[in-house]
Amino acid sequence: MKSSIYNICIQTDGCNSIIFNALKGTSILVDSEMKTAIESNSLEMICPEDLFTLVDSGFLVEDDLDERNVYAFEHNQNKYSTDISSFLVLPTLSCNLSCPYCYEDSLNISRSRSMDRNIAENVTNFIKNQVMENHSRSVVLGLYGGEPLLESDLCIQIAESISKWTMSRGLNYFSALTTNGTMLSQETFDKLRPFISSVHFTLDGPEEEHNKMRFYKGGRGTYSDLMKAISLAGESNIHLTVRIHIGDRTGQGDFAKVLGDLEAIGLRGRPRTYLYFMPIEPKDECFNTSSKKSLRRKLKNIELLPCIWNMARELGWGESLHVDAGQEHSLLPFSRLPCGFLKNGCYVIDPSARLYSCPSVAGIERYSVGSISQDGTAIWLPSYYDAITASPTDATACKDCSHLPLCNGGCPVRPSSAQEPDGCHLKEFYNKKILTHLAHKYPTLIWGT
Amino acid sequence: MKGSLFNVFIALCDGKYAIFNTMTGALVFADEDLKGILGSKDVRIDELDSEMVNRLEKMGLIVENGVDERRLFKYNYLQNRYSNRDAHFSILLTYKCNLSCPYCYEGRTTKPEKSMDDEMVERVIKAIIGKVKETGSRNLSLALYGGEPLLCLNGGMKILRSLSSWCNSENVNFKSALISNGTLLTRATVNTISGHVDAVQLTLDGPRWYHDRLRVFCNGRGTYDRILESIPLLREAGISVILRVQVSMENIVLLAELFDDLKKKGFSEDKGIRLYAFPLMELNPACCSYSSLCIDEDSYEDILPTIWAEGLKKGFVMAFKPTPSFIQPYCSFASDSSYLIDAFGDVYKCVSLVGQQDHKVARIDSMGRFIDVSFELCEFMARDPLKLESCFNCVYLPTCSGGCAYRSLLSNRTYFGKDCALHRTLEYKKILFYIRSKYSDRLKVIE
Repeated sequence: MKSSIYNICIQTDGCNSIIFNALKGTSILVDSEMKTAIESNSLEMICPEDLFTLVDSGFLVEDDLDERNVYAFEHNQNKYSTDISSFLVLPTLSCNLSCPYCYEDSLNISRSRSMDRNIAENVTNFIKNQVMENHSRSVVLGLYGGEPLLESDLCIQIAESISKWTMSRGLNYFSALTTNGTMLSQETFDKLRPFISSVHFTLDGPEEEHNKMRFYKGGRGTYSDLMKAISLAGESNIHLTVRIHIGDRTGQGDFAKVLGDLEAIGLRGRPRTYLYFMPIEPKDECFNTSSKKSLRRKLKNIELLPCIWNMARELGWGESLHVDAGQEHSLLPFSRLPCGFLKNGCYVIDPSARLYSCPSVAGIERYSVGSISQDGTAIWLPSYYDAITASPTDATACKDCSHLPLCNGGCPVRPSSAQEPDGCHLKEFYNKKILTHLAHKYPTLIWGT
Repeated sequence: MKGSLFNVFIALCDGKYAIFNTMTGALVFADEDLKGILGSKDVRIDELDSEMVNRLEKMGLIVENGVDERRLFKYNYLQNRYSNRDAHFSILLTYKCNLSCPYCYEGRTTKPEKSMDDEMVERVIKAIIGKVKETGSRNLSLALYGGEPLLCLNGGMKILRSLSSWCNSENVNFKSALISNGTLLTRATVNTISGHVDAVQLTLDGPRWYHDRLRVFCNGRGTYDRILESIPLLREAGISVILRVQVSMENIVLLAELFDDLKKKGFSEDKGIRLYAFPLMELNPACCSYSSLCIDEDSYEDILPTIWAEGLKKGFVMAFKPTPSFIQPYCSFASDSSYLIDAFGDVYKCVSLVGQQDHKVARIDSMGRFIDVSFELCEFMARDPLKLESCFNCVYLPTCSGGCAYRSLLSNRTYFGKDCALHRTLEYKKILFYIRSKYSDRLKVIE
């Protein structure tokens, strides 16, 4: 037996430490003696009963096992299987709002373009072709922007076509509309509803805060319009996801206010409702993993989350939170991919029918990895294969890292100028996540003594 | 533009060249000039007309400078290995066999006897359905083998019937094959399997007199006539027949006689009968006393092409243009959706490792679930030819993709090694054979 290369040891207080196994997602609280025994591979000091537990949970592994192969297998399995084909379509890059954080990133996206009906037709054909080529059983369609409802007819055209086509083929279909909510009239919603499974809204805090961040071009806030839209969608049985941004100045009381407003429109306890809290980050945040400023901000934000979750639970929103380890909105979602978009069978499509590996850069031609031709087939650029086959198991800095199964090498699409100039800070970031997650889940165990 | 990394250049006798691309399977004939262009790291496209550039690029013989063809290979290769499209299961129904071929049993102290019992049959059916549901595969193929699978016919039929009817209701394509010694394929048995089995593979060791010395019933009687009798029965039932011809040091010169006999029986006329030659290999310690029969692997490249040529004379095409591994995998179990289940319900990833407990990758539990999935599976699947230096630089990388993982395990004690035995030079010979058989009369006119 030997110690797993994916053991992460974090000191909690004077004498105890947590060992977290990044491959298995297991954690154990150990005293300094056990910590030394595991770290130094001095296993003769460990009693058989403990040894069994340590092996069973992946902290110790067989001598001849190269765990890098286990990771590589799971990484490839996750990346290359195409049981689901997923398409994020941006019918337009325009938006009727002028939220500052959207315009503050360094990407300078030109936001005036929209799709025309012919391109939408090509995109629909591409989706059908690609699903067949991937032999997928399930199709996920995302409508995104810009503000997709500026082109609501295109949204309907695409979603209706794909929805009907999947039904005729006996395929599973799931589609999500991400909208700022300001253009979701009853009429539009009724037209879209038959072809849409889920709507995603974003709130920037309570009314006052929100209106400072999310406003129309003239400056008027969108909070009340957005609440109307959520309420409208909430009356149907559609899936509803509400993302609540954590701003620099948002306090506990502010979140309680937001939840109160959502309760007033009947969302509390509503089935198919999902709530998550997310620090406001620039759109190109994934590219800036190395900046110390960004790291400090991230560390601070992580600390806030458990308090917010606890408060939301106390206010009766527990069923809408999905923050357990392994769940989508938790601190430790346990993916084997650095990003859900860098997956075979996953495509981001801009209004000009160009293809991307990342929604943050959609619309910037130099990041495009291919394009959809008029016959609905993809013409891939070499950069597509470079991006999708990039594996952290080939990267010198990542292949032997204990944190690899958590960060999965970070974003391989980020521009080369953003490559870590002074090393990787992700270890510190993930250590904080692990500790925060565990402290939230087992408060007395970790900090009790 | 640049010439593809995967162009194989073959000098023809008239000063011309055949150029075969192992990634795309494209084959062109070229003069010295064009050959020079296609082998160049910097193709001066101004020397070619644009139509020509287009065609060469389409065939993958030249590529844009920014294209990393190994990336493209990696993508195709991994996409195929992890594709959920085709699920394949080989089922070892029984370890029992009614024959006593020396190369199979010589050196073994005990013959294993286990057959799949009714309960295990049910578990296996559940397990396969579960896997296909889980992965959403569109195609399911099954190979029943053993031992001699027809010694466990009831279990086999139960599996075939259940799975084909399930696939039918779930809109999954179902195909099945039987790998048998052929001695039990009577009219009654063929009637039973008819409609449930698409293909049967049988094995021949040479012409009758030679075959009957090796492939014998337990009482020593030969099996040649019995096997050949079964072929028309199978064909009448619409079942394809694949004849595996084992090649050993002793029988090389005898195979022409076998092909002759098969031709006389009319088998070369029937498109539903295919032949292939496979060298007898020393694959495990049990083989050692018969290792003198095995051809040294360095000789495959000389011996197999002569056999293909002999076969072709009698109308049997036994070698084809090499195909990229991401279209036709080099190993039935390379795919993440392929498994082998034995009579004990143990799951393996390799025919040669079946029965070796320390190499099993999982087992089927009483609920029909794959449990105790072992790290062996990860090691087998994580094998990456691009990480093997000699494969990384090999022009045959797309067709061979590292070769047989088991043979690497034998010689390197790890899956992470190359195996060139049935590749490299042999692939070159296949291309030559293909050109000779297909273009012999046209070589002069194709520029």
